Amino acid sequence: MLRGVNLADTIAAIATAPGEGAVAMVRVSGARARVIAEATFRPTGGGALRPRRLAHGHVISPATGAVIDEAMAAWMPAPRTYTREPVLEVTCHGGRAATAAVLQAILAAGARLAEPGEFTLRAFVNGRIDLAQAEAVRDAVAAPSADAVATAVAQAAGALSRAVGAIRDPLADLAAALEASLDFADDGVPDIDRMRAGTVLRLAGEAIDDLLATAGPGRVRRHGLRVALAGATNAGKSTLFNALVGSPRAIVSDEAGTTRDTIEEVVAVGGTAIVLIDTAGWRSGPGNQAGTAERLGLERTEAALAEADAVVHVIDGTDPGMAPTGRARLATLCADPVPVVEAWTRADLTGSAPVVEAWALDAVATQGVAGGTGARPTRGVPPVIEAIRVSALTGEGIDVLRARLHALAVAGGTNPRTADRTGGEVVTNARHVAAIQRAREAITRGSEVVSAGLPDDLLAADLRASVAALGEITGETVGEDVLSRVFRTFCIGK
Amino acid sequence: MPAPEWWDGDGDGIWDVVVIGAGHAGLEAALAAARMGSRVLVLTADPGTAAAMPCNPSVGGPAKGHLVREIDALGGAMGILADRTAVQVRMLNTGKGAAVRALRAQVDKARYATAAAEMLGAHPNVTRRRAMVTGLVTVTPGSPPGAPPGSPPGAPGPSHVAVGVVTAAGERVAARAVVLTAGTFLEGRLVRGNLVEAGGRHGEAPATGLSGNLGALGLRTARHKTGTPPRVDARTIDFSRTEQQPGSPVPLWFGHDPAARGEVITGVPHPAYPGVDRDGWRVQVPCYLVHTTPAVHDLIRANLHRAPTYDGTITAPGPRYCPSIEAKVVRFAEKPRHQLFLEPEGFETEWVYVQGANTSLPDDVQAAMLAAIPALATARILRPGYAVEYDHVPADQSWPHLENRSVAGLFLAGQVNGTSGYEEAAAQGLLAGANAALRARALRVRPGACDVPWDPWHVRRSTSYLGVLVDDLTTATHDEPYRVHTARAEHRLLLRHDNADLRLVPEAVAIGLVGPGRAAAVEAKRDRIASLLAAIGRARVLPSHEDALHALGFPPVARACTAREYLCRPDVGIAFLGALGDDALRLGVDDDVAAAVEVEAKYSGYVRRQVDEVARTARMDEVAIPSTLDIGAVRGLRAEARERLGKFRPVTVGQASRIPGVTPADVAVLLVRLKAR
Repeated sequence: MLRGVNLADTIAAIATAPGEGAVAMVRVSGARARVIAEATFRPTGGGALRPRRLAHGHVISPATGAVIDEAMAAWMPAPRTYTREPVLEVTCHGGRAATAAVLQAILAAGARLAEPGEFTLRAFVNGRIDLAQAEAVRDAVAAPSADAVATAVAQAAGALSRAVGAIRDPLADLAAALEASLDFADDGVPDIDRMRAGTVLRLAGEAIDDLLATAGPGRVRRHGLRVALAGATNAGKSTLFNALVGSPRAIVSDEAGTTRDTIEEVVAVGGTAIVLIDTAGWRSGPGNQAGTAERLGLERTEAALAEADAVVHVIDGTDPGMAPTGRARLATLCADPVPVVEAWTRADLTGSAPVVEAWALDAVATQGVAGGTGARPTRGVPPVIEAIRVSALTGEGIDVLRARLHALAVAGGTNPRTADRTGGEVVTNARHVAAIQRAREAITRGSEVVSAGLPDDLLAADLRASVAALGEITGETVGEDVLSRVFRTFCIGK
Repeated sequence: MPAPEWWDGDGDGIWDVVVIGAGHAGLEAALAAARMGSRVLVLTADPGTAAAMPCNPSVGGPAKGHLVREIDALGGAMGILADRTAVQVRMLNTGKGAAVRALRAQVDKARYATAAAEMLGAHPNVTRRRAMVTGLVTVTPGSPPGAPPGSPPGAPGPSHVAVGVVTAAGERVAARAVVLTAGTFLEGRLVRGNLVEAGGRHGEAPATGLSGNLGALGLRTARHKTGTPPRVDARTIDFSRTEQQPGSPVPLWFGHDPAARGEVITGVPHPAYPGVDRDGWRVQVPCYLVHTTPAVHDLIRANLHRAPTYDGTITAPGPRYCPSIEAKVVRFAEKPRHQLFLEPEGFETEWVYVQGANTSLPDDVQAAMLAAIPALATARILRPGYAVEYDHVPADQSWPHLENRSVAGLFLAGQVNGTSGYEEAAAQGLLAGANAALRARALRVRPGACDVPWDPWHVRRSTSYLGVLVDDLTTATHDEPYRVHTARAEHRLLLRHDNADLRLVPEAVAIGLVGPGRAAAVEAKRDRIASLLAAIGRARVLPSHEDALHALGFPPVARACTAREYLCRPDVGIAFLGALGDDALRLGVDDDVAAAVEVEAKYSGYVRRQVDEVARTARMDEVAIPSTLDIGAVRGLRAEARERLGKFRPVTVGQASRIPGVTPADVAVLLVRLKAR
């Protein structure tokens, strides 16, 4: 099986810059672009998309036909496109998680998430752009990242790899037993026990379902970590939000309690999508004289926190005394202990003062990045994994915070409610999710082969597909691994 | 580049293809090149024989049988020879699905070798000569052939060009292409107990010197080990204590074309063999199953210190799939018994091969071991088992068309490439011989040149086990003799016994390996498959067919449905068509058509999935990596990828992507680099 970037696939990604204004664009490229357009876009007034004409309509779920978003779509046949492949561009309401939902509908219709730089790579491979541009692509694709992100990726990969390996192992053993019976029938290797095979498949299927559930049940499956920005009113949440998003979106003013609603924005960080949620703040101090609108906002904040995979606790760096109160407040609002990154704002005003308390940094050292090998946080106490000084004005710390969120996203930034089921490892990487889903489909087919009494060569094909798909995560190739198991387990050689 | 003066490019003094060795690889190489019009010289120690079987007397089995069908589709000899000289034929894995159904024949070793030698001798383009080759004659290219003018020194490309061979007698033979099929003869060493003698196989001297000559040309050699079991005298076996395994009651053939088969050579089975079938479609002798006993295992354990593989005499790795009996007893200590098949080595001969008892233990232990098995209590050993250790030239140094990367014009095939098995050797021989002929063709039209660019014939993983075999050999280094298994093919459902001709005949015709008549036959078969598929989509199975269906062992239908729908039920096989009494649905003698239709109709989802997979990967396999690309100069590759790609020199991006240690990012870098050229 080919392990490289597969240029024959149809790929999709959010093409607009993070948080760019009120609209976002999802771009699809590849042979299936037209088919995907038909499955996911319903033009107003019916009819089909005409080449290179912008059409108004609705993005629909390819499975149910339910309307997901109002959108504009344009379909461009090859080769006069950016990639020289058929391209579909869907422009939808930006700045909302719905962008992710649109992307998800398109993925469900048969596209796969593009690798970083893949549109450009295709444009280059198909002779659309020149070498200078391609050099940039190559750097993006191949450059090793030396920062903390790489460490987090490695840690996460280790945990996920172990979990996937535990599912793959019995499947590979079953595949070995089956292959041995096919290739060495005359060597006294018995046929496999189909009842046992059925059990192995069922258990593997269930384990995969549990693992897939961590990918975000009923939510932004395949697409992104939900990060809530929370903190006292006027701590600088919206300013930080805008700095992270890269353009003004939330209304910012110096008057406390401006953000009455929660605002979501999908931000692409290092190839991973993050859904940033700006929440209404709580009144600092014991006063709590909030108006009705603000009380409603707080309820929404609570709901947002309950759904978040990680929280950025925004603390006014010029008022460090409020930090303990804020932490207590956050503890009451978070039903479960999600990982918390503290952002100490207004670093430009605090100069080089050591505002970050030592205990917070200790917490980082002992707990490590969530999803890694650190101790499990105690229920009810949000674990602070890092405190970072930031300034929206000078940009200080923004990149560090971004990198940390990316690390959390790749590490499977852990909503413990779902992580409990599998022991901590969470699947957020789209490629991993896709591989695991392919394994699941193969297992389902294999179970059908067993129950319908279909021949062994078909079961072998399904087992091989499942073992190969899971191996894409654990880094094992199916052929040699299965053969090694055959020779280890069975006395071959008549 | 210009040829040396003695190399008379116009005259008859130059052979198109010189084949060294006449084993299974050498036979197919010589015949393939000859079929393509090359003048072929075969140099062998004994021109009176060819395709000898120093190990088991059988051809085929899972994956191996598929290879034989492919060889036959490509016009090769192996299927025909097995068909003609079989002692017994069986279809294996019949209940396990169309993809793994595999044919195996026990053959008459002596008749097989004789028929092979006759076939070789009968071809007008083939000359045989007795000679021991001791070295290659090579010339050194001034600048790397194929590399553009001004290329830096050290840019990839062959460092030598083979223009002939030298024999032990000192004779220099000029050739446009050399195919080396040395088998186990390179510095071969036979070992049993404390006896170590030089030899390529029993009773035959090894090839000495050639291996050193290859080393001097920069080729890396390594040792492999394999083994063979004792042969016993049929007259001393108590067959009443064995379990008979009879041949197939229905005719089965490797060959696609009955006209090409020739006469079946049968014999009068030795009277010692019980259970002979004399009245069937051909005379067949059974095989006989026995088992080892705890006493045998005790004997082996007690004498392990005398086993060359355990006392350090032999250190070269042997095949995991063909372990010695001592290795089985050590590695699977918990197994109370191991099965052994007693396989007659021919019709008239009393020589019986003890399949499963490979050993290099001393003679006295071998005798005691067999004596501890009831059926063999009084068996006389005609020849003890022995291990053979030999040099091979790891095929990771070859292009996928089996030409060596350092020595242009030198093709290697068979065990010398680090494989095991007659079928693997034969298939490689065919590929190497055909490519040698293509090279010779290109050289012939350029008199005076001894190296010119030419287009090799490549086989693909998605269309043949031969493609899987060659891809595996050239994209990884194997530390044991390589054998094909169906488990190695990722598109197994597409690589079936029944469709080898559909898969391969068109390309065989394209390069002149087989005549256009075969292509017409294949198209006719495709048409029959298509029309039968269409017919079962129309024909209806009715409740009234109940009795006729029942007679064939199939269930009735409650409501009418199409034959195709009915076929999709798991408990229904294609044979039910006989119950419908419709002439359009009559299955002919051509079982392949029925098999293909059954797979297409019943498992269309699976077939489509694999076809899609092939299509997805095909694009990568179409992106060529020119031999002149300097991998070391490709910026952005990780160090490991650079090392791997430099070592294996993949010819396509698809092949590169299959090399362990090459990541998707490396593949992307490579794609970018290739487009930039």
